[in-house]
Amino acid sequence: MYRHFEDELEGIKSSVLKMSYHVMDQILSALKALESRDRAMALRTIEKDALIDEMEIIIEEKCAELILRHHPLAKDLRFVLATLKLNGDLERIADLAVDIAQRAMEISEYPQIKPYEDLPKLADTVMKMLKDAVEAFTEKNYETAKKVILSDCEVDKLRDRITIELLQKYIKREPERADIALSLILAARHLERIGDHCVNIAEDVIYMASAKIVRHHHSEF
Amino acid sequence: MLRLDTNKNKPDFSSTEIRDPLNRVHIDVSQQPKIRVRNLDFYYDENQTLKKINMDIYEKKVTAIIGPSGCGKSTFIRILNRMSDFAASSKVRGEISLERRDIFDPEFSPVELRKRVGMVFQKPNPFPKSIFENIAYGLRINGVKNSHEIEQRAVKSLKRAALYEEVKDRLKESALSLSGGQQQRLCIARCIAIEPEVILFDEPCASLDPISTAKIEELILELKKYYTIVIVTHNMQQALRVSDYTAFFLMGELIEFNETKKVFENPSDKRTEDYITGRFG
Ligand SMILES: Nc1ncnc2c1ncn2[C@@H]1O[C@H](COP(=O)(O)OP(=O)(O)O)[C@@H](O)[C@H]1O
Ligand SMILES: [Mg+2]
Repeated sequence: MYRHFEDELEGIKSSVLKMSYHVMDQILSALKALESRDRAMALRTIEKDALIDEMEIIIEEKCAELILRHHPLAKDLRFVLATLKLNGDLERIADLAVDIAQRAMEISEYPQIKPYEDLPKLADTVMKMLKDAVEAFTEKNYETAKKVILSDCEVDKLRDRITIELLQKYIKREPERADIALSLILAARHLERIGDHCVNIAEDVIYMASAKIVRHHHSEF
Repeated sequence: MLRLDTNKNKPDFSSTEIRDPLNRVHIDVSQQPKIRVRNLDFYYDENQTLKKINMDIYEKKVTAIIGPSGCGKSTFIRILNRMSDFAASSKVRGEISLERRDIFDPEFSPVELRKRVGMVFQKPNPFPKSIFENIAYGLRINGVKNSHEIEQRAVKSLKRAALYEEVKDRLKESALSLSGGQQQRLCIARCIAIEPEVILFDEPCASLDPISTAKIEELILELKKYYTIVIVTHNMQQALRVSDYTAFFLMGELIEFNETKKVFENPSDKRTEDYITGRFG
């Protein structure tokens, strides 16, 4: 029995890993569409979201079945609980990639207003958080999870800088370019929200590794 | 049963401190335990069945004892009301107190102890007498003579054991005509009639179907209002459903003792985790 159970746990873990790769791909192509004002690419990204929705449901079903059949306890219970939450966070992250792709569609009709500086930095930071969060999950690594939570500050700072710059330089001074500036502000906001979901994942990893619930208590680090 | 303690003086119950750097055995010193067990060793002949057990059993709480077969669960709870006295050539060392009174004190008669600490076994074992007599008999041998009182106490304990409604019209019928689950509840009623303070259950649902099992579990949660309960179980889900504290025994040792939620969500010892997650052996 225990063999089958281990196999099922491994199966869920690799499904989660696969889903996380697809989600990362989605963010990357949405960002690329944004950067290169590529409408077709943005559309493809939006279409591919259905695949991730499907994966989310499959993982949820697998977890439900495992709970029904095996009544997992201790670290196994914590693993399944964390997986269910992470599953939801990954799906929401993919939705945010779709939102970014929509921003890419909006700005694709306009010429570029300025070279991107902080936006790529924000994108890199958030992608790193997601990679670390997933790695922390698969390796049950408390330290990596903590790192993710601590990166959130940096993300907020970058998002604020982008917002203020676009607001003051374009929305206030060149209202004819307010549309495009607004789209970029929103894109930064979407990236920042992705960072928040990465923090959720990291919190679940900490619960899984230590049974400690750290949500809303980050000051402990 | 031979008592091995060289220290013939009264045990020192003030020595509550348990040194356990890993916090595997969590004794809540803020609670006055109903039963306190310190450095308990137990032998059948030369075989040591229990090794240095330290734990507290808290009042009006349910304490579950889990562990693989042969780890000493039954032996442990049988010592708590000195049923273990009946095993020939057994030896015990260490301290057990019931409300600060040494249960091995020669002045504390085992009969008196067993009135205060009752026991329900794995297989329902009603006497081959009527349902009513099963309870009345126990009361009579415990010195209750007044037939009116016997009747009152029998009805009260049948009600408390959630059996009365099912048997009130057939109290004169043989107890053996009852189903397994009803027989077990009759045994619980028989135990309750003596008005114990502690009830020890040794795998009370082991021979019962799921519905009878659910009724017994429901009953245990109800009985917790009045009694301190210790239950040996092989069913982890049962331990989770009914108990407040869980003790994990392995080869005669108490490996872990803590709040049930802690033991099943995040056990401190790898051996506990292996056992409860089915990775044992
Ligand atoms: N009356 C007895 N005489 C000798 N050995 C016994 C007796 N009862 C139990 N044992 C031994 O003591 C050990 C613990 O048994 P027990 O307490 O019944 O375990 P559990 O209830 O955990 O299955 C076992 O090795 C068992 O064989
Ligand atoms: Mg036993």
